[in-house]
Amino acid sequence: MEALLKSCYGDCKHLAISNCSLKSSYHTLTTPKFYVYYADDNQPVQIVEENEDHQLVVSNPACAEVGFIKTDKCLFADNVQKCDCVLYSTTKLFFVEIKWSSAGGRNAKRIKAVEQLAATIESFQESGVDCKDYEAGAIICFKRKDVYPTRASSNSQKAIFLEKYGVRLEEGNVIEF
Amino acid sequence: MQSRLIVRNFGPIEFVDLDLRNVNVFIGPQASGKSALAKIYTILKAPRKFFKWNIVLEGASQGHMYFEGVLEEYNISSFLRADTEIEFQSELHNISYRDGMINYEPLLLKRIEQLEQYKTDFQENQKAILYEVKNLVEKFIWFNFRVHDILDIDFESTASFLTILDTITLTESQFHRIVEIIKEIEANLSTNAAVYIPAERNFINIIKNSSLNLLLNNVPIPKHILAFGAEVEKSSIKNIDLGFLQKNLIYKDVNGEARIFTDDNHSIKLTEAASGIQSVLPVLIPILSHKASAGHRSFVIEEPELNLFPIAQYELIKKLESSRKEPYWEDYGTIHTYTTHSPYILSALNNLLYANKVKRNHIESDEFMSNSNLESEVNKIVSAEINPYYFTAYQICNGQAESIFDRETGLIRENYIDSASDKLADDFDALMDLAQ
Repeated sequence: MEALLKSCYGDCKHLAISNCSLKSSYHTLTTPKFYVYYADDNQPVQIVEENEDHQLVVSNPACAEVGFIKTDKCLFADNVQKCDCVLYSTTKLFFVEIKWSSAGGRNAKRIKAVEQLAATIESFQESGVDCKDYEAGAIICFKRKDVYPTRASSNSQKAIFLEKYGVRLEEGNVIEF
Repeated sequence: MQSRLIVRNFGPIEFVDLDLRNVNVFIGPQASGKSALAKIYTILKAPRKFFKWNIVLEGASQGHMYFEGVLEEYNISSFLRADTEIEFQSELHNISYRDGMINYEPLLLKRIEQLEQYKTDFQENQKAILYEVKNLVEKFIWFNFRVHDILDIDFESTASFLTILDTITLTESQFHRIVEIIKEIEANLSTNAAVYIPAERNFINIIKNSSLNLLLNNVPIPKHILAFGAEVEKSSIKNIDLGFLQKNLIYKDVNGEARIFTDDNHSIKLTEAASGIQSVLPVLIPILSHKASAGHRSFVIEEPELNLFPIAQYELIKKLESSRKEPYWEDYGTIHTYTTHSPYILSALNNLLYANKVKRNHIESDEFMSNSNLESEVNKIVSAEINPYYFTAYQICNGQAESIFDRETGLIRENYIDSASDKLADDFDALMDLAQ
């Protein structure tokens, strides 16, 4: 997938001025667990330690090779609407959008997240990545997963993602490879 | 079956233009006008039930007062304003209220009158008569059956009925019988009011045995609640399985007394039963009674969720929708109109829409032959379905109506009820931030 995407989109659009510890958009991790953090400060997502703030836990008990692509504000230019990162193995593929929910507006943030995830999936499909080759998920990552009353429109959105992209849309904070 | 309701300046309603089909849903905050719209729909769907057309109204003020009197039956008369405009359009009739004038256009009746005029030169008008009869048999299934009978045409006939109608010659006597039948159907439909199942339905169980005392003491009970009580009372249904509320629970009418059985030997009075049971039965009794009968009926169900645990809300919707017969024809089947505040009712309806979509997508796919038991798999999960073509859903707020149904995907989209769930989550998040 990395080669395919590199041929379409190249690498980080800010390589020359990047402050990131991992400067490239593409990384491969084999640790059994790693943590993803988005600071909402115009920087792309970062891999952080367990004791640091994070919104997403990636569990990889088999220590398989997991590709980690920083998409928003990195692989894609800042003015392009995309989700924050993409993670994949040979069998699984996850598109992730992280939304801080402490300031409220969860509803508006969810609507925006769905648009960003859909835009990224469509870009990947255009570049030749077929989501149907993977067990694919699109994850909206709020500060915490909710168990509040059922939302008909969220169920509808899940059905639309599955039908249109072959991707399962979920809200959560954990990805398992 | 499709109709259109346009309302301007009526109570909290500023302007709404509603496309109404076989399953309609209204959501919205308290006092937004969703029940008022459902009540107007109930009245205007059966204008000859509520309006007397042989009285002469002198000017706008009399018209206003007369219309106000009709609205009073549903406790919405104070919503009527000088600038109120209401219009209802259906296959059977158009009716409007504007500037104190009620204008009723009985479309089907006019077609019947036209048919009757053909009597004057029956032989000359044969072609025109058969053309009209063909149009009517396509829309009215009971009429279709009766015409088969009158013309002595076998239902099993291999040729299509419409083709046969192209080739026959009517006798004058057959023609007269056909006209009488469509007149009878028209009269039934134009007076066939929707059953309005009010949120106050528990009240019916309580007052049932005190009705004479209430009348004696002139207790002012709204007419639509009494009309609903009468509808429940005349129902012939004697037995309802309430297993979806609680295992082995059964309602039985024992010599006119409503009782709830927890097993074969133990029962309690309905008035002693849990509030959920008392809310559900007045919904199920008229609807399940209609299931056994032919013809068309509409039900407006206010807040089906009343007093019910979330899973019971879901089960109730499945029970109601699995008992509904799709009105493919104007004189057949059932229309359900729900008003609700419940995310569970909305999600239950969405699940039923999705069940239909999963089945349809499967039928249209190449895998249909290789995996044709998917339909039964869907039925195992959800025992009912709703065809999105016949579904509408609106949120009523700030005097306007906005569709919350995506006709392209066939599913419910973002709406006020779902936003309420997010508001709860937002507040919890904010409290967590303070607690850190």
